[in-house]
Amino acid sequence: MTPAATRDAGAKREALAGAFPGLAAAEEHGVLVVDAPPGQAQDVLGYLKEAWGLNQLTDLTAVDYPERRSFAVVYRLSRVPEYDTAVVKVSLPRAHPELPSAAGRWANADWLEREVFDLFGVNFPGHPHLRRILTWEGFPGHPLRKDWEVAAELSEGIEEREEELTINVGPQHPSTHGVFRFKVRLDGETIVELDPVIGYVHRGMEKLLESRAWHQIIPYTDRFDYLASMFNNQAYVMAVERLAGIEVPERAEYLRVIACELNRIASHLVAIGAYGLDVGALTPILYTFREREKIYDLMEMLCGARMLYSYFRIGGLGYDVPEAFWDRLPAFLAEMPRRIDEYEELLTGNEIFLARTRGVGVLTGGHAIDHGVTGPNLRASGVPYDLRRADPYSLYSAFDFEVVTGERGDSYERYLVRVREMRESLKILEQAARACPREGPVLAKVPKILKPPPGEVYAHVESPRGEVGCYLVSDGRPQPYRFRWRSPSFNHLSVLRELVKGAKVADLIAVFGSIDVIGAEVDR
Amino acid sequence: MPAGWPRVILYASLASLVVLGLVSGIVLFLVYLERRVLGRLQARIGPNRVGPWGLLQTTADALKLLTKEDIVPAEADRILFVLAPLVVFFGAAMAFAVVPAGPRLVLVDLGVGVLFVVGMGSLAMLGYLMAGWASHSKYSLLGGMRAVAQLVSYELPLTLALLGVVILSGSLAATRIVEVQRHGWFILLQPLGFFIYFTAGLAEINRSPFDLPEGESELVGGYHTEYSGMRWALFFLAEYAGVFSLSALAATLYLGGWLGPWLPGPVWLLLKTFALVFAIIWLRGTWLRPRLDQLLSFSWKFLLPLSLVNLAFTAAEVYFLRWLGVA
Repeated sequence: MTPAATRDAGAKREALAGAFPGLAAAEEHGVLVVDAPPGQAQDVLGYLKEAWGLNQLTDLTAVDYPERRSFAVVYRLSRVPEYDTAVVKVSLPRAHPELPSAAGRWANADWLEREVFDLFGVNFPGHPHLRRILTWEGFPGHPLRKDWEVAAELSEGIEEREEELTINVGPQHPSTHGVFRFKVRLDGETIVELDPVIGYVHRGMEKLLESRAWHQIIPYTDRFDYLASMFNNQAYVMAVERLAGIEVPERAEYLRVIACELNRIASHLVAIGAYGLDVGALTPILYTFREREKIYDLMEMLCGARMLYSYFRIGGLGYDVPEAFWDRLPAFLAEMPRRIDEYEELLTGNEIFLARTRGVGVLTGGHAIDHGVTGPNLRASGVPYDLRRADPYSLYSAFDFEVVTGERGDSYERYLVRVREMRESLKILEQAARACPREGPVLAKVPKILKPPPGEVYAHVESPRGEVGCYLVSDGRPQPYRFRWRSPSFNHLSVLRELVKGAKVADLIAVFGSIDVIGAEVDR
Repeated sequence: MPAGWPRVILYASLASLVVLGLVSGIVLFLVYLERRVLGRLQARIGPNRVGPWGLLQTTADALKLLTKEDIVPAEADRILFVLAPLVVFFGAAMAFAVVPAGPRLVLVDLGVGVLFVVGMGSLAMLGYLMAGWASHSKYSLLGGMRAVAQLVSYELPLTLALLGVVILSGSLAATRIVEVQRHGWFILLQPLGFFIYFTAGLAEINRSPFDLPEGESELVGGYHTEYSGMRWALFFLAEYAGVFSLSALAATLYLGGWLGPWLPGPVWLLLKTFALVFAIIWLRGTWLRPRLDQLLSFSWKFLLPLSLVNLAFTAAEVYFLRWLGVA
């Protein structure tokens, strides 16, 4: 048994000390955190990947410590599908922050390192094309450094101009699902090269939230993935609860599960409907939106909002449910399976739909893991990795549901996995509605001005798009020292380039729609 | 100039005016009909506010489009850009001229009516290419290219399918073709031919599932990306004129045109036509768009061989009917 296969942190530390004598490793909130010196970082990462099977780079980010004159670069690794995790931290001198690139080891390190370079100014020698990703070329400074100040005049954005065969799909285009731009080089209708350009809706959320009180942050998280606000709420409050050691009442946990699974169905309804639109079917989206409205009615009963909920609070929920909710929910659960059949009749068996999506944009399991892909996109490639099962949080270990997987990893299966996941969510909802206590508090006692103890924590949830993670660093003040959002869409978008090389223009839309990306979550 | 010329010119202008009036009226109604029917198919209501049952909605829309600013992109080839929607609309509208609504109720009883219709269909495609090229926009150009590829591929099966009708009736004139169907509608003798004609016809008028040249989710608006206001409306009207003429011709050539008991001829023609129009709208509500290469191989590898089979089948039919002594 490899050390990683045990959950015993002591054994892991010993194994690590055997391989790298003198390496400091500690345990924080049940996660092994390794402090590697810059020179050794690549060896440690390689060892963890090869010997311990931590095959996915879940996240790569940095924290600025001006008073220590250093940056901490944080690698968060996961093993997929049998979940395990470890964190590697590398401390770099602030004057010359340089660290060899990991882009050869994990494909998604390419984009993640560009982000760290853009926002912190850390250099990654060996990176194939290190340049800014969320801000534009010519942006003054690196905004997530603590000493960065808004420049009096921001310089003009410089548009790169490439002519001849290049067309720009976006930033305004009917099928970009938010604001993206793809620079596409075409030969007739065949795609020669595709370069995604992102950052159009970069609002500097991670910077902004360093100046908000812990309680104030919740509504901001709604606006990352606006189709799945409940999950964003959940990832954030779970992280804070873990950091501050707050117990959530059982009834609140049940209601959280109910809210999240309803939200998952609503989000998949949009994904499926919009996907139909992408491939030219006008009707399905109107059907899916009909049921989405019903979910929104239910959500409105819970928290008064239909889309951006801010329903969760640190320690529980904002409001208790009204009595009528318990009548409306079963009615919805009873109706929904029939409605899902209806969508499937329109799309699943349709000859043209099959021709457009089968074998188009194939993503193999290994490739998906390498790119940090999670959620339905990963499961469609045959990897049974669902955080609700792999690393159960909230009450998910108590529910009976199937982790839906595909085999081939093409656009069709990504669509199909979402359809089938809606049915699984209905199962969870039924069980949760039955088991939820009808009486009891929904909010723990939490101080109005929260000051979690200094420390770090990472919490993740299985959102409709994949692993949404929240990495918090606290220095004991009433605001977070560092707020990092791990968004699935960011990693998923980086995979598109390879999926559509050599395909047709129409395939670009069919593949892009099938990976179901939310722009606001990519850019943050 | 011979003495009769003024009369010919007067007659021709009057006839064109009648065609234009008819086309505009029918098209306005068709747009309304599609929006209502699609609304029903898609679990929503559709326009119901302007006029009784929302009947005046499309008129209001047309008026709005007429008042919009007339924009020609700076880089565009101005002459072609302005001409393109006219060519498209002209091609779609002219097919009406040869559709007979009764034995004598036909604007031009052309001896080569069927040929005229095929020609006019191709003319519209030329307009799409002009629009795509003249806009000087990459999306428009891609749309125009798609239109040409589609036309070239579907013209052939379309014409070959019509040939079956021509062989059976021994005439290219629409009135004569209807008269022959007194003994039985051609859809009974030419089920394959009807299927091929209708499918290829849909491709020729860019209707779903063959709406690739303007495929919104891919090409924004395809050939009409850069068009707005009345010029855009002309493309829009042309599409519906195309829907109507395709249905009217299919009704004429395969469903016995004006023939039918009790009701007057024009009513029968309209009934049959609208049944087909409804089917076209229904298709739009339920189908989606194939990829260009799939679309082309469907034509070359399936429809074209099938239309050749149909031709052989027709020849056998004629032989058999002669032997029976019917034809």
